[in-house]
Amino acid sequence: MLFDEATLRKLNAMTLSSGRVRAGRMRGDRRSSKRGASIEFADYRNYTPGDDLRRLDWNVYARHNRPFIKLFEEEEDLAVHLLLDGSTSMNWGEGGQHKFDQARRIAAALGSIALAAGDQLKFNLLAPKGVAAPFGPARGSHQTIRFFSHLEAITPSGSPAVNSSLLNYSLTGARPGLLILISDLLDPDGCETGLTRLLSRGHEIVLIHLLHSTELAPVLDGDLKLIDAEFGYTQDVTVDQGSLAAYERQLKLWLGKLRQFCVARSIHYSQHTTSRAWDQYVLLNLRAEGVVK
Amino acid sequence: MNFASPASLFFFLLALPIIALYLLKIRRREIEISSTLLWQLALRDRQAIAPWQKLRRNLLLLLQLIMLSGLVLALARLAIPVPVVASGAVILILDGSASMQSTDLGPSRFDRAMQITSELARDAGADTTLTGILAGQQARILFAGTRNTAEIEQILAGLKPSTGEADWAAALALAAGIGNQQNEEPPTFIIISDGGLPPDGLPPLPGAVRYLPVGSSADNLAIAAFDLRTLPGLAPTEAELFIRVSNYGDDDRVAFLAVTADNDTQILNQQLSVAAGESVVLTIPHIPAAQATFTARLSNLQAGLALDSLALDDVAFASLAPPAERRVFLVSPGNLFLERLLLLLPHVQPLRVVPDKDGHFNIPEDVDGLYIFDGVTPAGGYPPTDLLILNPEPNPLFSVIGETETVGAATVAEHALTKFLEWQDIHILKTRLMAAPPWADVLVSTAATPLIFAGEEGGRRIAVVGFDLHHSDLPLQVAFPILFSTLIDYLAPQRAVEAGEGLRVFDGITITAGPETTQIEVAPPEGNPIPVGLDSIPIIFQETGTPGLYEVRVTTETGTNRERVAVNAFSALESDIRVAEEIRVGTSVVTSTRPAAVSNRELWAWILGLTLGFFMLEWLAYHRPAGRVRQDMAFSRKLDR
Repeated sequence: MLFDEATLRKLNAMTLSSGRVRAGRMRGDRRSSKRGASIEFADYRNYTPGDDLRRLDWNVYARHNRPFIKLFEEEEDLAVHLLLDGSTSMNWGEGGQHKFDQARRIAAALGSIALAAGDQLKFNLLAPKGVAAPFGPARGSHQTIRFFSHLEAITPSGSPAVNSSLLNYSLTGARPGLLILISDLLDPDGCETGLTRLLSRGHEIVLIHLLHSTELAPVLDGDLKLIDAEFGYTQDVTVDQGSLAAYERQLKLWLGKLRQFCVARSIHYSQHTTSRAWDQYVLLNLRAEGVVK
Repeated sequence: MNFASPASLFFFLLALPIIALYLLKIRRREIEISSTLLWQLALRDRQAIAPWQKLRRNLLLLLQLIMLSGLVLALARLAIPVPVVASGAVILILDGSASMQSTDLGPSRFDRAMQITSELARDAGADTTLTGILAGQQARILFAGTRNTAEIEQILAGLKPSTGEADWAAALALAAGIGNQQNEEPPTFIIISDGGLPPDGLPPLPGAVRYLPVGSSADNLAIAAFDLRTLPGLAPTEAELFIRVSNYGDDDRVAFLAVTADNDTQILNQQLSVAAGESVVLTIPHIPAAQATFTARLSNLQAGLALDSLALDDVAFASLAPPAERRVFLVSPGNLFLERLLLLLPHVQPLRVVPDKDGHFNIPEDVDGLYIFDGVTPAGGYPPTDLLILNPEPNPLFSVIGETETVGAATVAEHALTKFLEWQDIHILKTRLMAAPPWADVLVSTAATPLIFAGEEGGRRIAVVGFDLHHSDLPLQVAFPILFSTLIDYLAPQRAVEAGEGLRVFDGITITAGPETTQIEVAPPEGNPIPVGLDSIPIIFQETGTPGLYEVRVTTETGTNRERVAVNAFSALESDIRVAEEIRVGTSVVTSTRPAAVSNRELWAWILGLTLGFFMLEWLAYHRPAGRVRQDMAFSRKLDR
């Protein structure tokens, strides 16, 4: 079990927040760009033959002697795309600070929120061959357990290029919606091109940047040969005051660039460190940031 | 700058393997991390592509190269040339006389002399060895053949200048002896002094002599003489106090002179003006003899200020002891001259030994006193007491060869007993031919025979006059009372303690002890009484290095006789603290010296010390990242918040 009943109850009381109104395919709890039969009034339009006379506003007709049809908001579902970085670099950390474990729990939390809200949930793992381990589209709370089981079954492996994986996903023609990417973004190719392509497909993107505490402040000392767990690259380094200062400078520069890229493209950027509890992050931080409500 | 062992500079080649070790791949610890992406980005600018870039700003390499340089320079014995007074074998002769107590240079001239000695030791090059001799009351070797500054300074730390004159002749003889033992080039002698050496009579030194003068001022007002004397014109219970104050400086001086008696009775307290280079003599008559000790003190007109540079001679002491009655036994067939003289001499109880009916003189046993044998030899031989023998017959004490009527011109020897003796107009008709024994000093002699000699033999004093007074015109001359008064004072001292005309520091106090004496102690001016052994004859107390009043306690079965003796630091040589521009050693005149040689001061000890400091720095630099990691963990927690 990824988390307990109490946490699940708290999550079920929340919904994912989407900044834009989109046309859905099925009735749901969200406003749609379509006009429909809900109780929420939207607008008037002139009657045209063939319109459902039940929507004719007889009061207006009596006042203006012209027939008008009442338009109501259509409440439809939201397409939620959960993309989880499955690279080996995510398979890092011990115990409660394991990166992929925390990413999986955050994905489970957000997925369960989406399913409970009746949104259409689609989950994919970013894998070496594009995307893998798809789940959904699924809708409804009854899918939650199955979704959890699916998450528990997946493991990080290989070295998928985040950028190309995102490009691949943009080509799947998935219904535009809220796309949540959970990744450490430790990819030499970056992720900017893929995110830009997804934006052009009409997705609203939430980028959850997950980093281990030792990636923010390395606890290293002496003459080392660093081995990249994902790509197998090696890097000789003499960890001293100068090299640690250079790492710190580079980390700040990298995070700053990412944040600047996201702000410029209305991508919601949220950083999470494994030293912080994942449920606190979802229930407090993401709520404070407006990703869930 | 030069090197005593330049071949060691080849060790600089060790820098090459050190640098090579930094260029070579380091055996690194392999550690897997989630991603090297950020490290690659971070190290992109620091990445070593060219060797010099690898070496750039490498603190550990820099420190190691500095340490190597330090070690190599120390091995090569880096030295800098410094000007020194002398190099090679150097024999230092340090003036330890009383004038070195002068305070015109900081604490004292002696401290300055020790400082100069330390500086010479510090500046000594590798080719220099130092031998130190202290010219004090006794000359002694302080250190020999060393340039260990710490050892020398430790020895110097315990030194103090003497209160008296230095035995320069002994010091220079000692230095010459050491100098003659030098197998290589002749040594250099350095005399560190204020120039208060005797003007002549010093032995020559086998090498170059340098003189380092110490001192700057000649300002000194001194009590040059202070004594009590009884004069014929004064009542027996009165004495006259005699004071001479000398100004050795270049300026006229005015000072207070105070004289107090032992019971703190002020005898004199007056302002005294002494012109530069002059002396003032004061006499104070009618001093009650009951007042036994006196202290004279010069002081500045302004209370609390020092009078001059040398305080040692600003105070003097005098003592007066009531003379004892002396029993003098005259053993003579009849000598009017002697009888009358003995009646006139003060504190003499003259007694005649009368011959028995056979004309023999029997000397009573156990009767102590001075016996005068005038041409008479007692039947049982001379008694074991002090003796004055005139016109002696053959006897076991000394050799009497015969008699001569050819008495040539007489010569008077320089001796305390002949101080005021005038012998020019004395004629002798006939005298004994004698040989002076080893224990005796010849006072008056002719080419053929000694006429008068005196000395100590077997714990008693013996004086011999070789002729009959009736065979000379001596009794008619003024020399007669002077000679016999002096001889009787010598043979039968008026006091148990002989102080002559006043003792100076390190003069021995001769103590007369009778057979009834059980203990003798001397209480110095400072400290506890010192017991004096009764075994040595004569009994002389030598520990008189401190000016002041010494109390001699002679204990007999009937009680303890206490007598106080004044010991003073009177010495014109020491009171004249003017720094001499030149000194005379042997036949050479030595002027003050400036640095005349160049010595190499080796810096290896300093370099090694600095290298050790860099070693500590390297250790700190190597372990510094650990502290940085702790800082970054704090930074991480800050980010989390």
